[in-house]
Amino acid sequence: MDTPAIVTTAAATDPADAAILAGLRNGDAAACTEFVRSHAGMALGVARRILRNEADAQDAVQDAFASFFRGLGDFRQQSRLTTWLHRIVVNAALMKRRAAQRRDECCIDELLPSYHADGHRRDPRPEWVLPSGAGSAGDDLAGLVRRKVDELPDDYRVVLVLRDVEELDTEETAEVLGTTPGAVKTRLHRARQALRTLLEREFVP
Amino acid sequence: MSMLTCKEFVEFLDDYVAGAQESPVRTEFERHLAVCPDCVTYLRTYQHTIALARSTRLDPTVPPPADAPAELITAIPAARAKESGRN
Ligand SMILES: [Zn+2]
Repeated sequence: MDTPAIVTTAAATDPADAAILAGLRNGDAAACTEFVRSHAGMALGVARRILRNEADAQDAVQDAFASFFRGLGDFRQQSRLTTWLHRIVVNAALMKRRAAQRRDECCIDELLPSYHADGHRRDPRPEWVLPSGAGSAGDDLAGLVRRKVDELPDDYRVVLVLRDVEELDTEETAEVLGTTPGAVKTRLHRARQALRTLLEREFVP
Repeated sequence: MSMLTCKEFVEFLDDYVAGAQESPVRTEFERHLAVCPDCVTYLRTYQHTIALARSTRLDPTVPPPADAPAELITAIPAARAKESGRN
């Protein structure tokens, strides 16, 4: 009996990824060092957004690379290596966060809008004037936004980072945080409103 | 049906922005927006906030500024070598 030809989907894989993967799988020390050197910065950036403590972020990066190397044999090449590493770093940082002592919750309520008894807004919201220009100014803007995200209470910040920055969906976020989709939805909306208030203080002339 | 208050408008703004509402509810939202410039501004700045948060995502395919400490970069392959040496 003829075996039907198997159409491989590996064609979608980046050829550069395939070469790197081969080196890593062979346990090539130089390939390993090179891979870490070119990806540690990205990994640390992701971990720092989930963990505010630098030592925890670096530990999470170490854990992530360890699981990355352990999992290489199972990597199916359906995604880019970097995308896969990115996801592993998010998970490692979340594990670390769960283990770490939670930061004291500051009150998020003061960052949420307030209303009169009849449901009308207490004070009208002014329009924003966003800093213009791209390039280096754009980088400054991202830095400013990151600092404002960091000011959010931890439980809110992590939901906002996973949903709006890392773009996980509600169900995935609930799963990694060990909570319900409903709780994720509520916290995300409050986190966005609080971040909106923090940004407004910067963008209203 | 009475008009939505600003409070109600904001309460369900996430669904509105996600386009997750049934059309009658959406129509109520749009009726409120037509008469409440404050909520128009609030909606716009809420959307700016989401877009700005999204813009802070690091593109995993672009190498970031190499600010990872050298010790970290050397520790990872060393741990890897040690681990594979055991196997
Ligand atoms: Zn209103």
